[in-house]
Amino acid sequence: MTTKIEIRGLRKSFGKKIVLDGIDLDVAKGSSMVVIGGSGTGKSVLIKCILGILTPDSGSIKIDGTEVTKMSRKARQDIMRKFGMLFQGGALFDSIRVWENITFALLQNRQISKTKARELAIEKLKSVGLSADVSNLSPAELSGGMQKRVALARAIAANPEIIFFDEPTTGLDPIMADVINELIVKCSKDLGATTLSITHDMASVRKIAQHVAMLYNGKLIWQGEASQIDKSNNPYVDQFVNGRAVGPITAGVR
Amino acid sequence: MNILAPIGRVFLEFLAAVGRVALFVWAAFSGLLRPPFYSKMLLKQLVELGYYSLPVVGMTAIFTGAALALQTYSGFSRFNAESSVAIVVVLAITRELGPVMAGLMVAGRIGASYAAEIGTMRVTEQIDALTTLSTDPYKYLVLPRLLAGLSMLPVLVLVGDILGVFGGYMVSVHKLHFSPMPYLKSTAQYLETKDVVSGLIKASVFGFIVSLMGCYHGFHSKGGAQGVGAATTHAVVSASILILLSNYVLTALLFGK
Repeated sequence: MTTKIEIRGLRKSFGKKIVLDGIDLDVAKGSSMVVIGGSGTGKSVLIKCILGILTPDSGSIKIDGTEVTKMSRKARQDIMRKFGMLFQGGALFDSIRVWENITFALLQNRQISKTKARELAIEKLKSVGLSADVSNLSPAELSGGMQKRVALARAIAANPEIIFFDEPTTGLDPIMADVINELIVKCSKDLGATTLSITHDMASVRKIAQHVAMLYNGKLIWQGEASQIDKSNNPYVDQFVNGRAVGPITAGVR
Repeated sequence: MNILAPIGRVFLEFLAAVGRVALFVWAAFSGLLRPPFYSKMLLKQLVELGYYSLPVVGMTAIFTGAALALQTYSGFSRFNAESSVAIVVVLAITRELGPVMAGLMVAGRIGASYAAEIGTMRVTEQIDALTTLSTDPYKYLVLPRLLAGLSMLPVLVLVGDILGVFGGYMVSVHKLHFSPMPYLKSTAQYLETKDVVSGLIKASVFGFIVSLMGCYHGFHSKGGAQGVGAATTHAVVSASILILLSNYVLTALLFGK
């Protein structure tokens, strides 16, 4: 089993607040890793460091064995083609239509023609369970669940090798959340992609995770198979998984 | 304790801000010659800034020219210098009021909209999304806007100059009873190329300042609606102050002897 993403000693702080304090994490090729943790524990920061949106203070991040933390902007842009990302709020561009959103990267980098792009967008819309007539709408005309689906379609449009999911089910009703979870599993399977998700929704974890890591106080305090999550013998993980107000986790619980 | 410490701190903070803005400009312009080129974005911004600002800038120019003619007449008639109205109007418009008024109006119209649009894109993670879609947000969002400001404000000011002189002419001829031909003649007689060109140079600098402040503050907005609101305010206020400040510096450089 080869390692797709290798993180060693990753540190990031904002002013005096240490958010990531020496993270070591391996994500195997084709596997699905979910990082859990409370709100504000730095889950998003972790993903943004890997994507290069934030620059880590120290540590190493390797994608397919290539160090990415000290890359030039140009090289970084090229390696971005391997990635797809589903943002928490969808982050669809509201000034352009749905089909242009989905094929944005391909259109901007002149990889396909407009007609081809439209066909591809419709195909991707179908794979997330939306009909072709959605393609001409603007993102503002869509419901929250539909926006998430379109955002998912955009994340997978360029057939990425690695997909990140940032709180994919936040703000959705339980049924729509399950639909999105199933789509995530299906799409990553179809593409054979490696996925890294961050969430605090346990239903989502049980559905999409093969491996789970828990982030607490800037450190990964537990890693293991998803099936082991209920018998981790780790009081922090137990408290989180079962959603108890009382337990060892106090920071951030007001 | 030390009375100099706060002054030093403010000064260092100022230098840091200048450095951040300079790096921001560099990040945008370093992509100028490297494909892909977002010509559609550029065209959109050129039209938005150049064409749709015409009514605002035109109206400002006409009424400024008209008021200027009235004021100059009532002032200059105290020492029988009414004949200078035409030349005062055209010089004031082309050298000073044209570029400054247009710059301030565009700061309100364009600077605010850039800051609000880019700021909203920032807080809804659309700028991060651009990065993940292999698109350089500096090049895609910032560069076309900076180029639009740099190139379109001089065009607007040129139109404004003509309309401003026209405003002055209308008042002078129809209200103050100047004869049309002598008025136009004395307008053209003393006007030098330098008067117009210096105004256009100013306009280019002001346009750049407006776009830069709008993009910079939008790009670095934080939080939600409140952050975008603050970014918009900062963009308009800082652009307006920088326009007035650089107007003095430019005037000193262009005309100071």
